[in-house]
Amino acid sequence: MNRAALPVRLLGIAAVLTIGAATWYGLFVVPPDLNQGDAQRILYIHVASAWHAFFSFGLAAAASVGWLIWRNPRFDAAALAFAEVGVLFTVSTIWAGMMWGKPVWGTYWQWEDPRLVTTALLLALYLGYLLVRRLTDDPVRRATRAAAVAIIAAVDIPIVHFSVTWWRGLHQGPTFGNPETILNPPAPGAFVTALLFMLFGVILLWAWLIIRRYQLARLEWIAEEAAQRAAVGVPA
Amino acid sequence: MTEVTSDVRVIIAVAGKDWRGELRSRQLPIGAAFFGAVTLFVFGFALGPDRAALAQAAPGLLWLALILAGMLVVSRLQQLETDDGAGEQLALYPASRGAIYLGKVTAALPFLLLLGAVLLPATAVLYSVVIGPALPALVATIVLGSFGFAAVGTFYAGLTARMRAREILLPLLLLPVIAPLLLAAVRATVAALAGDPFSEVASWLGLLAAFDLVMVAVGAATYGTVLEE
Amino acid sequence: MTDAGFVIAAYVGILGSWVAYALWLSRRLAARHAPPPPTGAPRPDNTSAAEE
Repeated sequence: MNRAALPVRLLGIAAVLTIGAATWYGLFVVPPDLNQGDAQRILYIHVASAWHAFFSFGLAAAASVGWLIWRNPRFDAAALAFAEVGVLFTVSTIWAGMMWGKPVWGTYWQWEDPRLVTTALLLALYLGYLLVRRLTDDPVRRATRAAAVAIIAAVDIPIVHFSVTWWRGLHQGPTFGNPETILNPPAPGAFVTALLFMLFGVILLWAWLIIRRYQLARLEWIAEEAAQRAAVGVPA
Repeated sequence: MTEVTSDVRVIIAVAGKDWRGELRSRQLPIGAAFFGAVTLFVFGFALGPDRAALAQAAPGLLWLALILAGMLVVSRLQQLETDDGAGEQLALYPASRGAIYLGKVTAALPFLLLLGAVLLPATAVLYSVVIGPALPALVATIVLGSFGFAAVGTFYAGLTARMRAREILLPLLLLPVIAPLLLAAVRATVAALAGDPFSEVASWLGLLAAFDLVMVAVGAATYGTVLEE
Repeated sequence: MTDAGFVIAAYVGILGSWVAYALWLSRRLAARHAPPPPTGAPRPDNTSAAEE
């Protein structure tokens, strides 16, 4: 069994084709926005990435709670898959946001945007999560420590978002609600189609990545347990 | 009732053991306070001699110094448990895990408050900030901020205590989590020093209190699983 | 940089990172499925005992 099972392979192929077509549609078919011009094309991939990033981290926290309650290694493998794929999509989200922010807002980084700051902190929290995993060798300890980190991150994020929203509300007038930069698509239908198209493609890709990362995590866990048993001299 | 009493006794016993040890050697309170003061001093070099700029940056610098020195406090208190394997004995002790966690948080608290008591006047002197009229609000901010820091810091110090590269890992994990605490505490300090023109100090203190409650609840619930392993 | 430049940078960077991650995953999985070493070969160290 050197390759993925047939349904998973088909899923991967479908993801590549859909994302390719959605990219083509978003870049060449949709007309430029009346206010934002071509920069608006970044939003399709930005929004699709962001939704999957937040969704992944929510599931990672849920799987972590599952590990702490039931101590089933499948929960740990799932938490790792969600967290790692979530980090990938968070980086994509921030990168797209910066590439969009420079032409539209005039700056790569906007401190007063609660979503941006929250997303960046989410990235920092889950990079810490992955680091804790790397620096713990025993699989059971690793799962427990990582689960605790994921739960802290999950309760921290709403407070972060709330505090940054408040910070802006108390100290800053509208910078990015400027009517010059608000989206004004000449063909709203095409805009929505492009967004949904990309969203659909990213769902397929996300599912493929989660399945494959989960499988890898399971294989690694089993190999580690076997190595551990061998080291203490217990027959498998 | 008896369960509550025994939990309180565990908290006092755990905290008391750390206080006695550290007060005898005096390394931790003196070392952390000195480090915090030096940090404030060095920030002055980084920002230059412009007095208005320093006064404006003072609340942020005060809280950064508190957090950096506070990191020494929580990691040192955790070190006490790992140095001679005391932590394993503590884990075997038939007490509720939550109580042991609260004991460690309580142990850190006076050291953090001492830091505040040293660094607040140091900020006033070095950055020419007038703290007198704002003192009650500032004290409330430091108490709530220290408690939240102790809650999260104790948890992460315990989590990383027996890991490789813990000196690097602790700040890396801790700083993003306490970002809302830093934000709220700095905003409360800024508003208090300005005489609270928009009556926002109470809101920020409320946010700090909410952070403290959530973090201490999660810490008490999960510290045991980290300790047990 | 023109708007189009930012659009290209965004898409190339993101699609590139997704492809790179997918390839990395596939390679790791393929390595996991490779035939195990013959019996008697030195087994990997159990690093977890070194922790503490």
